[in-house]
Amino acid sequence: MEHCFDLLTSGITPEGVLQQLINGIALGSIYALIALGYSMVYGVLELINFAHGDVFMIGTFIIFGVVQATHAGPEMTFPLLLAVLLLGTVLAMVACAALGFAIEKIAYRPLRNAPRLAPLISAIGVSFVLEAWVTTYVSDRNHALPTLIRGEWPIYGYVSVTNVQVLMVISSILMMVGLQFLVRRTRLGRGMRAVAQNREAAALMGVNLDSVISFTFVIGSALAGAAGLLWVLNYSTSNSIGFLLGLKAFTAAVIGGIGNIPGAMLGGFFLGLAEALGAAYISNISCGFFSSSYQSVFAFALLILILVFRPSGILRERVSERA
Amino acid sequence: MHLRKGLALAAGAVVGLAACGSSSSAGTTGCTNLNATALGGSVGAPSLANAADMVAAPATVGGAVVKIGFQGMLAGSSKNYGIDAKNGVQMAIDDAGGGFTFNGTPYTLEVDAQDDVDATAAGAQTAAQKLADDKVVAVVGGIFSTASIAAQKIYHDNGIAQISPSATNPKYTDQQPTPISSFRVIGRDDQQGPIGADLLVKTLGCKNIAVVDDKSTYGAGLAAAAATQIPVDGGTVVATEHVTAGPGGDFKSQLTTIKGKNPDAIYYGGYSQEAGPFAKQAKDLGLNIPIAGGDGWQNSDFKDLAGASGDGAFASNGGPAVSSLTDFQAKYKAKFNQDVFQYAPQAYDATNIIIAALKKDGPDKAKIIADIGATKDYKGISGTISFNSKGDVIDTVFTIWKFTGGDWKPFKPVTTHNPTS
Repeated sequence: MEHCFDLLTSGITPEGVLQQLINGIALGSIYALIALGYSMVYGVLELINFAHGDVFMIGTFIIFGVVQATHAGPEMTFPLLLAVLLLGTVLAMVACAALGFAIEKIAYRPLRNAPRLAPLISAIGVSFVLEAWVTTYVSDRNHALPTLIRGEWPIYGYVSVTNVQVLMVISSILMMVGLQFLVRRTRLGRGMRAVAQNREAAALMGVNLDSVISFTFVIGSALAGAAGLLWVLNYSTSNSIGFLLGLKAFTAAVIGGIGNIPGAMLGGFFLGLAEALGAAYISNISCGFFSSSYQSVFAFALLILILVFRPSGILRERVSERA
Repeated sequence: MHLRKGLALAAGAVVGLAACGSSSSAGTTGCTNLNATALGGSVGAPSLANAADMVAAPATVGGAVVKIGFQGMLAGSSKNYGIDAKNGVQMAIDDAGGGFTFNGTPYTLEVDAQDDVDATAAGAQTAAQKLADDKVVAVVGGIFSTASIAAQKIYHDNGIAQISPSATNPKYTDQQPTPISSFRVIGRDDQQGPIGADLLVKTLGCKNIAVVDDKSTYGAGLAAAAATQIPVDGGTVVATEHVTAGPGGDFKSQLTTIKGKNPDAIYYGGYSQEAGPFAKQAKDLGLNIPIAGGDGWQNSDFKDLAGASGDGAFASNGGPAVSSLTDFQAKYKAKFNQDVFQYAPQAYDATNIIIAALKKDGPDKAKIIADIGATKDYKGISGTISFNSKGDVIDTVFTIWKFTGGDWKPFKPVTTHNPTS
């Protein structure tokens, strides 16, 4: 037991905890952006769009392709680099939006009045198709960009925030604020909220169901494309990242309260923090029994805990059960 | 044995170069000897004394078909290893004239290549069963340790000899079923791990070292072997961390913990899919310290994934530097229109050992196992091969590579020995 007491405190420093918090928030901002797409679609259609993670994967490949094609590198001047990244992001967002639009039209719309299991299976099918398509026609290998944006801000001790992390958090918060504005303040957003509350009643009131649902997919997928930029600035991409990232973002959406937009954001940050801190300190807490490789286990352990103890999520979105 | 002269020469050069450090970023780390420079292309180049072996033998094509099996990754993210090794097998068969003659009867040789589905245990067993059903006389493969060990029992139960060109985990030969039927033409992780430890502590003068692995059979074995040797060499293991293998990994959590322990260097046991992003994220977090590892990431995948952030990484790899095998390289390129990726020379040697057995005793699986086991001082492309009673190569050469200027450069050759019995 003494060994365990030593372990409980050894290696835990204020600097370490602070740095893990920063890492966790940055990682969480990516989960949050992808989670928004899950949450919006669930809010409107009560469908878990399992193809969403693969739409994100396509976004990462587009940005990667743009950076490769323009031979952008850290030696490029900053405005030029920014232009390339912006171009890549816009292209990825447009392509993902178009893809989301097409997926809804091809795989979900014909099943709109089918039993709820049918579109879910259809979603899993689309996910497989996208992954297999990339594997066959694009690449079945891992790809990473060079470190494009350098620089960091020292905070305290060895703790620092990198420019990329600042970019991640700021851009994801900006996008969420924009989305919130769109949903709360525009005519289209009112239509989305109406459809979410009661699809039939909204249709009777003159809301164009098809266009509202299509638009929901377009916005959610565009956000996934933007998340693709934040991902490739930090991590490597491959044909198979969509599945795991999709599951994690789905977990974030459930944690926050699926169907709830600020909830998805909160869930994303919460999950990022839980993973970063969990991976760093699980060994201390578990007396060395678990190691830092259990990072991904946290996401799914949290999913189970939330589903058991608070199925409606942190922000308690009212999920009306439909027969 | 013919390797010794070249190695001694090259080793001398390293000592000389290591002593003359001057201006570099060594100030950012605690290691004292980081200015040791790469050796250019002169590392341990074995004179191709066996060049005659590489000249096509008189064609003996014709007669019954004898199949040599190959197990490895032929698709997926690690296919480069598998296809490269398979090419090595093909090249050996072609160099033998596409067949052999035994007791005056000609036989045609064929490769029966089976994909082991990303080197998973299930994939390896399916591939092995398929090869057994196809009645292959011997198998070259698997490539990764996990897959090689998973398939081992099936080959053994079917009386088929297995020579892995690249499985380095000690368990592959130590824990194989007896009488032995599995061999390897490469060194072991319990040799390779200490080589990494010696490099960091003795050659580079690093004292405090963080050890990281990906929990794979290979990565964890290698990291454990390095961690055992580090204190023996006079260094200290200041952190032990594990990462999850898989696509798109985030290692910042582990790296932050490592950064908090203030190490001079990191030893990473694992494969390039994680090692590349790991090296990149380390630099992103401001960890400008050397990272050393084994053959799992001494390849072009690491180059693609780490890019310039990989500078200052070191990795050992079994066999002499491929770039020193100029004749083999040229021949390979002419044949397959691509460069040697990694284990083609070892696969070539393994196949030649099998062909030698076939020539001696014909397509008799039991005799092939016995003949392979009795291989003595076979002068291969990757080194001089004699097997001990466990199935390990007695004298093994490793090359340490340094990643500098965006690519791998041979840094230092190391020769190790296994017990002969």
